[in-house]
Amino acid sequence: MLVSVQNIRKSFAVGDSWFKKSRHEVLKGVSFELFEGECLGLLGESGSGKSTLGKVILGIENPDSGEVVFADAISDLPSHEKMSVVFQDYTSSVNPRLRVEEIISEPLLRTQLTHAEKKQKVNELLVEVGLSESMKTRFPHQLSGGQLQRVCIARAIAPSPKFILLDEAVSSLDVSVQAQVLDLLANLKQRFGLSYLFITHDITVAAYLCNRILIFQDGKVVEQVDDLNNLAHATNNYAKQLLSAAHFLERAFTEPAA
Amino acid sequence: MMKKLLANRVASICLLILSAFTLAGIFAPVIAPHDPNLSDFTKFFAPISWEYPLGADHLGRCILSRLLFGIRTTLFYAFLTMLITLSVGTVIGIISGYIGGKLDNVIMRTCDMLLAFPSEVMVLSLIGVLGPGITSIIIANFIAKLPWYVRMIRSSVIRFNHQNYVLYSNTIETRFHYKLFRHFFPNIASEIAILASMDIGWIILSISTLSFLGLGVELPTPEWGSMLSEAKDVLLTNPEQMMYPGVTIMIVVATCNLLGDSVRELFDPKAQA
Amino acid sequence: MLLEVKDLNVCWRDHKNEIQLLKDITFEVERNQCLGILGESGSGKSLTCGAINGLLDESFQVTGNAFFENQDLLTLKKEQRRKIRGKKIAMILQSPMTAFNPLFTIGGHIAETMCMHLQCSCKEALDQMAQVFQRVNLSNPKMIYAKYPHELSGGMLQRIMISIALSLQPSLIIADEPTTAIDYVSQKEVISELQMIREQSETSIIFISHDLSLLSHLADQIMVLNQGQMVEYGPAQDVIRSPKSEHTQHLIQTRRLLVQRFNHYMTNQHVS
Repeated sequence: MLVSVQNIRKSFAVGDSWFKKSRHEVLKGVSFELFEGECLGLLGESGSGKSTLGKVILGIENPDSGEVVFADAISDLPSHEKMSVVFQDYTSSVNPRLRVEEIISEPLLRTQLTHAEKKQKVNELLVEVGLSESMKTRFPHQLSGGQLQRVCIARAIAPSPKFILLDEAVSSLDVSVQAQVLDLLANLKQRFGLSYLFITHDITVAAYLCNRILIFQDGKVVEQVDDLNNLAHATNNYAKQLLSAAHFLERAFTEPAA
Repeated sequence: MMKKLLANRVASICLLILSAFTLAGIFAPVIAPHDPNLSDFTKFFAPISWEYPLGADHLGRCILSRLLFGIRTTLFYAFLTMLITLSVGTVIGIISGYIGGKLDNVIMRTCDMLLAFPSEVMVLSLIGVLGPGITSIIIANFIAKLPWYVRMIRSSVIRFNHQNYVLYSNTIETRFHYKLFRHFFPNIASEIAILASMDIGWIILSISTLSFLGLGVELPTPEWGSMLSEAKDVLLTNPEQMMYPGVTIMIVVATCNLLGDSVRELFDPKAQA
Repeated sequence: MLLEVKDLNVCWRDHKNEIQLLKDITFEVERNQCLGILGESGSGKSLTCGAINGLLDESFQVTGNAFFENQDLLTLKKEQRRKIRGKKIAMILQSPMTAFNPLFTIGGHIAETMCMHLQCSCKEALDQMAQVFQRVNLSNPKMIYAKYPHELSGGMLQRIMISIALSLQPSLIIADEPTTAIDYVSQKEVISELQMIREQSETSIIFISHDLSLLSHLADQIMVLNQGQMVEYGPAQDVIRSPKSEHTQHLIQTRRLLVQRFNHYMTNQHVS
């Protein structure tokens, strides 16, 4: 076990006036475990609370109750070596006024590396994610979406964290770029022994990258698929609906004989 | 930022005029033909001549020299007020926006309270309490303007605090000063520049108005507002006496406002795309 | 022939630059046919429809012909164009959430749109709408009428949007990425609804999407755009099975690759 999420609850105040306060519960007791070296998919539609859950795990949002427990091996590490994140919206994920080089070296600030070592590391990382070293002097608006998301990935893996949260990391990309970025992620996971929590609404993408899938609806985990070969045997009603809809949509095109 | 500013014609002309005034103020003792406070009783209301390029006033003092030395009081005190307001406003705004919670609430409600009074009334009553003098003017303008800056900077900080790149920094717990100098300042700077360049004209006017009313700079220190005030007594006989300080104030304030407008245009995020 | 677009070119210009956004787009839509336009972001697929519909502003320069029922849409006056746009050509946009005014109920929206275009009373309009709802399997129209947009899901809103478009009996429906903003389950429903329209009425559809899987459900003809140029145009089955251009091959291949694993997991069940 690497990360254990235990009965997380989170609600937000709605209609925040002085006289009347009601709260909307976004997360209704979420528990699951992430094991070392796996990619766990968290599948849910927009508004199901999956991004809020992501923020709770990252520690930038406090849960009302429940806790996120990290394995002993990593719980004492400084946070930049413990975890990292890649967001969906790559344009707001980087400061538009910084160059690629500065963006990627942000997580290296707290390491012991010398200035030259950091530069070297940035160069290596750029090549690692399939960009060229010459891109380090560019500004974000001079890069395409796919390139920018690669920069975000480079930044995420820079301090060699144990665990990376991918919050819809490929959802804003074109299909042809999606596949490339997913392959890159799979490759990096293999080489650096990373663990991913992959938040997405797209089941084909989840099936492509993940070892296990949690289906998330309305603030709760409604189905846990530990072996994707059993994906079709989901028991929960919503999960069934979702899977059959997705299968219906994708089937016609992949089976041209029909 | 500077490059962009210089590429715009209006902005660069405004900057040129303002820097010309600033330089003239700094080198006033060198370029002024006379001591601004030296009255020559033979030169009452002297007409324009080589010796007195803009003539002399009712005490026989050189008007040009007084205008040049007036830059030092009016423009420089305005800049000083701006500088103090900006730095204090930025610090409080960032604290309020970044820390949030109760402290933020207290700061914001205080700002609301200060903003409930019109700026002019606020300044006048503060000077009433503090007594006339340039220090009171600076303090009064500072207090009247501060809440605007605090509010604006706080709201920018909150806006940038929700940007993914700040969320990322929070996740890996980047040191605060990195976030401050790399993420917040460069992004807020343009907004500060807009507000500051719009407001500097307001402060110049405020200093001049108060001196005109006799609440500001002590006589005989040359100051444009007090020059106006002195000239108004001879308005019927020597109307040109009022024109010189009046036109100077107008040029400087109009330049500041124009600069503010073009800075705002330049940094409008829509124009950037 | 319902719509015939010939050599459509679109340029964007400001005082310095001129950028060609669409180059020589030529296609036809027959009655009761569905044309799918496939392209990645920035390929010009939405722009094509915007140009045909006259929704672009003056900084865009549009040349070419677009004959709709033998009238050239590109040379028509604004007034006439607007008449055609409301009645004969209906648009369905990407995000249903923003297409509805949050202050009105669904019934209010329907009454307003229908009264304006069909010149009938509100009651007639709502009754007529109830029939359309029945046709597309939206049950309980009364309940839907009373709801505000935020009370319904994105998928539901999109289906209502389609029903409204349909009730005006247009000759052509242009659907610009209608399922991008909604989840799978609703996507399926929207697709079924559009399929039903194909079967039941004479309406033609232009379906714009980046998703080949969706197009394969609906389109008779597929046109593939890449950076403002047509790279492939032909019958849907041909395009999917034996794409000629490299770009289309690449699109199909990567999409297949992506879906493969999911389909593999899902079809396991049928075997075992």
